[in-house]
Amino acid sequence: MSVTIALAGNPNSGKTTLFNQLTGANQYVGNWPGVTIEKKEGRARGYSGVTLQDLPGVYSLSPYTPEEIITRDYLLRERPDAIINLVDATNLERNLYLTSQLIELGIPVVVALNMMDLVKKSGDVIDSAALSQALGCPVMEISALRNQGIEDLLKQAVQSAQGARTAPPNTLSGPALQAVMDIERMLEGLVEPAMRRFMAIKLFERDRRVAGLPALDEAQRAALEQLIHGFEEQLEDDSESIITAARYEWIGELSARAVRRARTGQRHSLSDRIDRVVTNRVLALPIFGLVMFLLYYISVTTVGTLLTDFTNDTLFSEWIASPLRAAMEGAQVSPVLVGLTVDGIISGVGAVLGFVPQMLVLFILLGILEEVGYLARVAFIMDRVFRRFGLSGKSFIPMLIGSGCSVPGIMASRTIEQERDRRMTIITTSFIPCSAKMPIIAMFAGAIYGNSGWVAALAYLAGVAAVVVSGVILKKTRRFMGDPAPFVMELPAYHLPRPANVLRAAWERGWSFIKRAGSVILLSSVALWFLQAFGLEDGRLVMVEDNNTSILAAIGRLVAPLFAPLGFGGWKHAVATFTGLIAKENVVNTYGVLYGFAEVAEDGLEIWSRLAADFTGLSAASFILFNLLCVPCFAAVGAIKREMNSARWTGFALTYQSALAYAVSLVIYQLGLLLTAGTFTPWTVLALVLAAGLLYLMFRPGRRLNGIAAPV
Amino acid sequence: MSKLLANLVAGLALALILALSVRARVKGRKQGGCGMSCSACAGCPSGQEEDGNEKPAG
Repeated sequence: MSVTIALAGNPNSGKTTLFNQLTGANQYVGNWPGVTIEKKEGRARGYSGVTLQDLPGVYSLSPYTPEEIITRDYLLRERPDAIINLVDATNLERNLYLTSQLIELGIPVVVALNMMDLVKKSGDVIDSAALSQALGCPVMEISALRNQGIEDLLKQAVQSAQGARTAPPNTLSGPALQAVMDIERMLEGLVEPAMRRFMAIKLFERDRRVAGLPALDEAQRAALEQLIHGFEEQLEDDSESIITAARYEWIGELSARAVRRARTGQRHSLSDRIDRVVTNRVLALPIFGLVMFLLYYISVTTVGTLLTDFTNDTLFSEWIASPLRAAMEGAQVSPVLVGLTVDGIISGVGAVLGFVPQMLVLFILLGILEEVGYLARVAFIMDRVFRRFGLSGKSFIPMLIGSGCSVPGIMASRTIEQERDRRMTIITTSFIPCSAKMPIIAMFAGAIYGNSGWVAALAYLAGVAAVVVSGVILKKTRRFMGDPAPFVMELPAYHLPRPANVLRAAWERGWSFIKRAGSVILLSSVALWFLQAFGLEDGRLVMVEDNNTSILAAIGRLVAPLFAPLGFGGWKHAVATFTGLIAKENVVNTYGVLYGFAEVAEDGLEIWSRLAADFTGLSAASFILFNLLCVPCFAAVGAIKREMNSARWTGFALTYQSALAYAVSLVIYQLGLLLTAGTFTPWTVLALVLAAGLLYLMFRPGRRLNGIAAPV
Repeated sequence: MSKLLANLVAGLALALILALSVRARVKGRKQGGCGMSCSACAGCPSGQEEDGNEKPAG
């Protein structure tokens, strides 16, 4: 037996939660719409030969967004044996719009009324038998989150997949039905009966992007257009709106029959009350700032620091590095092997792993904010800010995802329909600090700024500011000019976070971080250790006492002058910046290897103290900003290349990021020096010119085009 | 003799760690995303294989 069942439904209706329950998989579940941007496949637990397809969430089968096209094309081309249509029972009317389209595809549908626990709690009653009769398909009550009704649902879906196809009910009536039936008659012999209703509606809507549309000859096309035009004249509306109105009329009648509300206008009242404060026009941004500050204050400054200090100072330094060195030296192991193990691997990997406790606290707090439903509000709040600068709030979802990892963040830009907005989002997403950049920020916060929670919060806000500034600058160029995409987003109801979900997500992210330390960071540490431990003397490769005479120092000194005007011209900082391109955590392990835990025991100086000796508050700010804004890691560059699908645009993105990072760091450092120490050099002049240039690009006068300022 | 043995053990242990790390990196790269084959980040193409049950199908 081989059965394929597709999961289709509105965004944030719980498809991925159901997919995980049915397959035993562990796909990421987010409390905001649009988490699934590609379809995912899994095998059903307990049923051999049953394959499940998790499709991106869509509101309809219209071709307006890439997710809708992916879902529609899959259903039309692959023709799964059955569809489980996941319906958010707390928003029945809106969800039934998609249902009304799915039942016309000629594929057996099982409607799963999800979140029935919430419906019952609110006192509402849904008559699933009446719904089932009207929809002409089984309707099952479930709660994917609480694993209720899942087994029965799957059993029913498998039965329906193997059962006989039934004719879809009429979701249209009056002239709309008449028009569609007329077209159906034209399609006899051209389209198989099961698909005739769907294709007829699509032809009536003039939707030409449907896979498998029948090829009509000239005369048939003319007759079809005449028919459509006649109905449009008669109903004084366009054909697509005629169908939409007819569907909603049918849904309204069906809801009146099948749903009994306990209270009207009182649903999610607590959510509404919270939203009145949290998304308030005046309070929203200060609350967002406060939340971000608390997030980083707790994770970086208080709880996280206690744990990180222990991991760095005690675990890796006293308990692992020192005893291991003593044991290896006692056993007369070669100095090369001792150095590679202790100064290379343990120093490098340990420097990164030291931040795991801080990262775990951060991930737990982020998980709680997401579970509660606050992060979805952030996108809504940011839309107001972004729109003012010509960007869409839709761009903020990729950035929200990018705060975990830029790669999926950049990929999430696919949900943006307008190409110019999508390209701009791809370019700017990596400005938001990802979890790999957090150790860099935390390291400098600890070493230079007395572990202040403001550093991480300001780094985050600097990322957002870079996005906004880039939006303003780029929107004034011809390539990016135009209205921002409209942003319609459903805000999920607030709910208490489930500890198991939060902890699982935090552990997943933390484990990913640890795995990176064990693979790419370890390998980089070994390479770095080799390059900093060996040097050329009289043409021979020898181990050097002082890494200032190493191969790495020689390479670093070649590029270091480039960074001198930014305040970090030492070869070690140049090397750290370049190794950060492999993976951003590499900046931290580079310092771990170059400063070395091993030397801690000898001179009593820890990495942070050595870092503090090499940086001032100003040069550290410049270093953080440069590493925050410059070209992201290779994996993210690959994602940019894939999503841009153009070498020219990829080149532009990387050049823009590098230029902006360099300009911002130079301006901050040089003008900071001028203001704090009165230092004036030719670099100060360049910084002033760049600052003036940036301000000009932001505020240059432009003509208005569709409400957006544009250059003359 | 004991010095030779200590070097041999340390060398082999290091070689094993490096081999495992290269293997993890190669496996991770094939999975896509940042190369860590987990499902920690929303929308990541990389998927955690659990009972061979998950793979990006897009």
